[in-house]
Amino acid sequence: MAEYNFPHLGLDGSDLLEETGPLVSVEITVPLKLKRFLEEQGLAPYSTRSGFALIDTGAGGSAIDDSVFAEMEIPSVDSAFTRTPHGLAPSLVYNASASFPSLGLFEIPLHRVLGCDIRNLTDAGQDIIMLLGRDILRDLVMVYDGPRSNVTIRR
Amino acid sequence: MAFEVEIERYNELLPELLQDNNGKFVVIKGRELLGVFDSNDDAYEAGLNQYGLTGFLLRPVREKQQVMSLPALQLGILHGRI
Repeated sequence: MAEYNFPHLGLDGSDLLEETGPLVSVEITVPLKLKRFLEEQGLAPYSTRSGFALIDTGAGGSAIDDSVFAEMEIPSVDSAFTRTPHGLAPSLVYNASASFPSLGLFEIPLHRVLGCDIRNLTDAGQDIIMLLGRDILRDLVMVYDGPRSNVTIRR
Repeated sequence: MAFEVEIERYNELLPELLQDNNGKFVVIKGRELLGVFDSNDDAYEAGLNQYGLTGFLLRPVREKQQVMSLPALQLGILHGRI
């Protein structure tokens, strides 16, 4: 198993893990089939959106901020109900692809990823655009080391 | 609600679809069922080839659709500040 360490430390060595939660860098792009379709149609390829994914063991599935899909013009493919404080509410579902370069994981298909209002800028300037849920975590081992402000991920 | 017409059509077709196609994927645009596909990728490719980027419903055939749970979002923790 390959092991990757993610120290969550400020420039002054301060502990950021408690404040931000476990973060890994992420690049969102279009699914492979759409990439191929655009090439065949002679259309301009979509760009990639980069930011951070907050690892959320409480999330059944992963979610990406709606604005990412809007910026990339990725069309939705379905609507699904999500639980909210006010009961069930519909959210759009998208087909996309995610890469985690710092984990050596590239173009993971996200066939049914939720679009939600999750974008958040940390005090350290990290742009959170994704909640990384158990649909991806099921293939990973994560160690949350609070005392050292470090997250280790094995895959 | 997005895909209102398509989801209504899906619900009409569901009893029949469940008989032989449980676990497969359908593509619906308006009231038109493009087809039933073995994989999400096959369905997405067919939808793109037929409808381009105009949008279409791609949904797995199953008795009940999954309700997603994102507690951090649900409880407002994500945007919270102490």
